[in-house]
Amino acid sequence: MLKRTTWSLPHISLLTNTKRTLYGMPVLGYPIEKGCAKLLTPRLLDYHYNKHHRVILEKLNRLIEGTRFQGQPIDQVIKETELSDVSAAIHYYANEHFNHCFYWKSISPNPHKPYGTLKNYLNNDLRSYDVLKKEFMSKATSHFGSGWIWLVLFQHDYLEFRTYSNSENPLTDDCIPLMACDLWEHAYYLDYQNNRQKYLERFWDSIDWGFVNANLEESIKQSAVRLGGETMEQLHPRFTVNRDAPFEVTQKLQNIRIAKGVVTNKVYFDKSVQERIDRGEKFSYRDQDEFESADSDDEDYDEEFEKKL
Amino acid sequence: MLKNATRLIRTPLLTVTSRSQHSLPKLDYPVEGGVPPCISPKQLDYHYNKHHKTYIDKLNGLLPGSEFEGKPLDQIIVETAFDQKHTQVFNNAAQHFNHSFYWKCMTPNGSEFKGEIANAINKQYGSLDSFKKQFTEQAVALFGSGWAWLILKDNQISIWKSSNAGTPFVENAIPLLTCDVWEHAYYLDHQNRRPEYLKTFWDVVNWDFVNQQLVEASSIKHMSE
Repeated sequence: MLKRTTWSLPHISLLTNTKRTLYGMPVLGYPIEKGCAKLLTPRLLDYHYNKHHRVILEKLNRLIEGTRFQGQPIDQVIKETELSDVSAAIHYYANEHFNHCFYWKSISPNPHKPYGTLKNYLNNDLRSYDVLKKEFMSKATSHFGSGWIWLVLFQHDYLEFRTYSNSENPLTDDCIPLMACDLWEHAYYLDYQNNRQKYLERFWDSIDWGFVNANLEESIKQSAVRLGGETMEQLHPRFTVNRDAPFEVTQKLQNIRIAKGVVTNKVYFDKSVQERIDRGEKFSYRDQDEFESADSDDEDYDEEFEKKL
Repeated sequence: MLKNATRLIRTPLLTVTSRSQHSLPKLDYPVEGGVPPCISPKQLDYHYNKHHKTYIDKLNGLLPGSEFEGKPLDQIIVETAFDQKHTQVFNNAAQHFNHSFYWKCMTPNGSEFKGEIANAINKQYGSLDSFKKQFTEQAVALFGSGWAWLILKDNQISIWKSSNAGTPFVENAIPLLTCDVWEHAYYLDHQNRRPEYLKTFWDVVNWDFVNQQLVEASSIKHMSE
């Protein structure tokens, strides 16, 4: 298994708006004038985005212009400057630019509830949704000083909340970032002053789980691409179908069926479905329900989970 | 040296300890007036009555039944400084001290730059402006939350930075002047413009207090020699 997950996502460049040679401000998914629902007033959002984040970005671009870092994906810059004294400032500003880009995507005025692969992970997690929230609240409120709290994927299996000080983030840690929450005072001061608890309660209700799911599925795809061939069975069997991907069976390996852009567990196939797959029939996401065996507990579990939300 | 440092801290500090209950020190200026031109009344009210008070409340909550109950503040700080088991106690105790010191370092509309401290700064940095420039640079360059200090160590004054709740006397240095650069110290008035906050900070520094710190530190040193 991978010890240190090297995570280089093409979509990070989109996330941090890397065009040509310098970085740009990410486009927000919601208008600044409206703020972000109950979480951020327009004034706070405006300050955080246009003053803090923009200043960080300008400083970063000024520092990397003309250096070998110009034009590189930001995660690469962050990893290469991690242990360097000379490039400490680049490391700091690159971290903060990345963190803030992730933050803007982690929240939404109309957030998605958990679905897809993420929902599978949550279903199989021993902790309930409320317990996860308690973990998040307790770690985030007890963090002292400036920093961030991230939801991360550890060893392809475990969802964890990790706090980091100042500008540090999972890119230089052994886990994969899924969601970020800014704990620096500037992130909440204008609206909440020292009431970090209230900010975090509202943040939890604003988490866009669709973004979390996208990161999770992307990291799984990346792992699949990297591991390749016969080692596919090392991948976790909890993967599910991407809603948008067409379902095509291309390969059969031991206990795992690999489909193009999709990994499913053979446990869910019964004989008649198997025959259809062998004939080369095309399926869509909606057909997945057919694939689940009658003995599967998942249907009941889903209902319970839905109720909790 | 550390013993001298803590002896010094006890005297000028207003932190009132009675039956292991720490409390907010009384300010030398009314909260409703703020500290013009640096800190508005609203900012001062939040910083003093919410942030500083919360540190004290948390500290008082942690002390009963612990080995630190009834001990003076400086002793608690020194004993918990490098002990991972008591990080929470250290954070709250040190922040209580740091804030109490910070309030004393300021006075509405500032004061005259004179006395021993003026001599020392002019000697070490050439001029007050040069010192202000260097101190401001250090304060602005501090990533994250922390404090910028003027300290006395090994018979020399110097500029020092600390992260989060760091405080000089656990490093065998005597604090002379401090500026809080946690965002909560200036956010309502200056938002992200920390250099602007520092600029107005110089207009409120209470040089009489800073001078007093230096004089007392030197006299204690002479006593021990």
